[in-house]
Amino acid sequence: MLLAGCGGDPDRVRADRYDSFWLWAGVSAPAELGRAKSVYILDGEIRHDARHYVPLRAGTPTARGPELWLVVRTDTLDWPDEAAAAIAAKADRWSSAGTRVAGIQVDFDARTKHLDDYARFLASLRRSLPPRYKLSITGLMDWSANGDPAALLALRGVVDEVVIQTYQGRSTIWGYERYFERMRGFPIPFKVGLVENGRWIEPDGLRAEPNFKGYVVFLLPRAAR
Amino acid sequence: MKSTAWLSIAVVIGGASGVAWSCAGGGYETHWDADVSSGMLSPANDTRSNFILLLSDRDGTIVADPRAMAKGIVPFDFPYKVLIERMTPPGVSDAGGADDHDAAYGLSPDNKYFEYDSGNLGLCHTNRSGAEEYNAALNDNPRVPAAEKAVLSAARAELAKACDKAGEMRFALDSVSSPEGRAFGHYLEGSRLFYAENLPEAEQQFTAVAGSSGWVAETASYMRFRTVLAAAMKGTVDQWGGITPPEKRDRAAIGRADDVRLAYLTAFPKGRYAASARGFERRIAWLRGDQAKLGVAYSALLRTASHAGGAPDIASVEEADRRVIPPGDVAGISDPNLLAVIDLMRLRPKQGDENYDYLGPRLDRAALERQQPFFKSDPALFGYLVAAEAYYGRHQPREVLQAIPDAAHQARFGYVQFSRQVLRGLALDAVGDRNARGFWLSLLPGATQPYQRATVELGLYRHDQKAGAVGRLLETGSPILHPLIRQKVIEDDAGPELLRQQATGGMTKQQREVALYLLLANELHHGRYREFLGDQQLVGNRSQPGDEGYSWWSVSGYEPTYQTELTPPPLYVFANGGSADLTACPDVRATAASLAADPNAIRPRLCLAEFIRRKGFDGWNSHYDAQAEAMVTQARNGFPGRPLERMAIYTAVLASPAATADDKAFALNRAIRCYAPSGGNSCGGADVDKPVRKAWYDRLKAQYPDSRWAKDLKYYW
Repeated sequence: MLLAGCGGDPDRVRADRYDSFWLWAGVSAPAELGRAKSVYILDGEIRHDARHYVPLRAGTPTARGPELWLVVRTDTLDWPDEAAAAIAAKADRWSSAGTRVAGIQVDFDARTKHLDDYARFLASLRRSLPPRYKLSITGLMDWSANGDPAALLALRGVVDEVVIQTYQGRSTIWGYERYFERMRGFPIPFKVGLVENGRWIEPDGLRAEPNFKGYVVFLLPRAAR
Repeated sequence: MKSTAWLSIAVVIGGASGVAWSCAGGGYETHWDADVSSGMLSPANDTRSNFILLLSDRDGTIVADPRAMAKGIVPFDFPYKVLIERMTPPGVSDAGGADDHDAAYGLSPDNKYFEYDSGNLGLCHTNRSGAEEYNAALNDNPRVPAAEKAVLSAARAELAKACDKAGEMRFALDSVSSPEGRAFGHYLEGSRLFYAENLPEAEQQFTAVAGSSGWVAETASYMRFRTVLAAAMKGTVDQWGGITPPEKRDRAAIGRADDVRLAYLTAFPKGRYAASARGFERRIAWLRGDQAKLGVAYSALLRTASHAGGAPDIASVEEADRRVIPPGDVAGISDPNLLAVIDLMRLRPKQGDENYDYLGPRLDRAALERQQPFFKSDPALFGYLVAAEAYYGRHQPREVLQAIPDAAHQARFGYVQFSRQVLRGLALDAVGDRNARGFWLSLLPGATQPYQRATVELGLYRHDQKAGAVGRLLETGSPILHPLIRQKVIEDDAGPELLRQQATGGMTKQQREVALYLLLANELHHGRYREFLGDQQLVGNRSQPGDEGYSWWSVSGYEPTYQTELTPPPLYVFANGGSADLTACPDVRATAASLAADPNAIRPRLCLAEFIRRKGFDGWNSHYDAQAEAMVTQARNGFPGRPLERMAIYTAVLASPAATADDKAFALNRAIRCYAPSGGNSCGGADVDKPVRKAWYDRLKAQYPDSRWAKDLKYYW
């Protein structure tokens, strides 16, 4: 597809046109969130330099309505042994507060070159999580462009979905169309992660991808909702 | 995430003219990125990065560890996380990244990773250290009989082991009957109820022993505060588990927590937990949304937190960043650094119609003037802010030139002085001053602190780019040493002659290889076969890697979070024998030789397409805009003309009366495969609809049923 040239102003991502969202720490929920289909809520972090889980949410969600995903951000694959059980217990607490917990999402910027390590880590995590919780991961557009196809295939059946991030910080990654050209035939169910107010024109053929399952919008903090 | 390095630079250096840069640079995302760090104070920087630069000037703290900077590429804009990592000597684990929870509670952490985390209030956090203190106090107390000590200690140990089971736990303390022993028992039951988040009953237990003495009385008094605070916190959580806005919080409960806190401090002004209780003043102010009080508290904290020669106190910086910065309100703030960080944030451009970064109004000159009394000790910083408001807020570069006199010749810049002069350089460029380039050059000798030289080189690059003269940056004696900038010029701007010159005369092996790779690939894509044959000899023999695929070698893919070096391009595809594995084709050198003799030779053209297809060049031309007759992006703009597309070759072969049956079957097979595996076209040219693809497939099967090309395909896409 053609890039928008100078003067052209491609669509900005507006939250009210989407139904699934990430709710990150420090972002207050807009009123419409209660009507969402899915909400991915950042619960906390497992950090290589921290001595314990870093909670980033003040309390247990109680929202009825949307399906919830408990998101754990991490910068390491060297998780404590009890991590899977502890995270499942958290998800259980969310469920017992009356919410509909779809599963766990791991947010880790796995480097394309080390996708095989990540696949092994996820296979082990999947075995340790109760089957009632799906496993979702965030992914990079670069995986399909430059990743090892065998490592990608190894994720199939291990993760229930990959949400491919198209942004960095608060901006859509430049040249995302190029990446999507190389994502044809992506072998795992995937969603496309957009950043609120980022620029986005749906690449040709994305809708036709059999594994494309929709969008997730990363909500930004805002002055007035 | 992949880097958008060149994008954010656009903002750092071209903040006032983001849109113009966007067009010049070909990108179309013009915002600052909140996660950026650079060598100059800037609205584009992460607020924490600006803090760290300012603390370096005022307190003499470090910005980077020299050993961490000595290796690899010095990034010019990069995530905050990278700034923190580079503050630490290699081989030592992370210096900063204060733990949110520790910072918030001011308490020592647990050893077990998840143990404290019984509930989302995180109360179990204090369980371990609490047990140790409890046992120490119990053992020291002569008025508790030994048998009771054993019972109480065992019960505390049970709680220490399984905080998350506190709700179901029951202690058998009937045998504890001494008054002191019973006080320890009440305290213990209060702790259990606290960890179980049964806060009203926990408070009753702690209140019950308030009249006792010693450790129990003091600790129970403090724990009563923690209990009431936890209850107030519970009243501030929304249905998503987040904190409600200040106006929706339980103000009465927060007020009560503060009363109990002050009561503890009144009773035990030098108590065991006095420092912690005082630290909670900031948390109470934050819960109340009392911005003025937060301003005072963090101004005081930041003035005392860092020490010369060491790393800045990242925990305080991050806490201030979380608690006091986001509203963009400066009430109560007297610390000039804190003011400057907030002011710069308030100069960030809106994104579309919305402001996503802070709640208050944009900074204007009048608001800035009102802050002047707080900058008496730091007029240079205030002058920078005045200039920054003019430049970033109102796009008035001439005001910058008035506000900041030329002081480019310095032996060593502090970050405020450096930022002033860089801003002056940007303003000189913005007004088209003919001495702007000389000014940039004069900044180089003093730009010795971490990240400064890279920033000046970037300014020079931007200047020369605007002047259409980046080529000179690669000449002998060029001041540009930065490998990202040099490679960027090679990738985006170098035409055939400069690429050929850099292929042998480039400054580094990486730059020579990138130049040669681009030269050869472009020669093939632009029909310059004879030149290709000459230049290809520079590649010679190279070992062929296995199946690991090739890495992202371009500057546009450089990611400072993960890389300290650029990866080499896959030059081996052009090596002798590097393309000997192509189906039905010789290697690319033989193909190019045939095309040099006859550019329209049919099989060699198909073989050139096969080389493009198999060796990673699909998409080479995908940023070429036929209407504009130019690359839409800046990449590879140095090679004039329209690059070859595979589809054009297949179309021509299919229409050619000179093509053999095998050629046509080959072309049909490959044209059909352009749409594998999911119907998207990877071959360039106009997309064709599915019926056309079906017609190709039917023709291949009907006219060439016995060919290898027909047998190879079972379906179309």
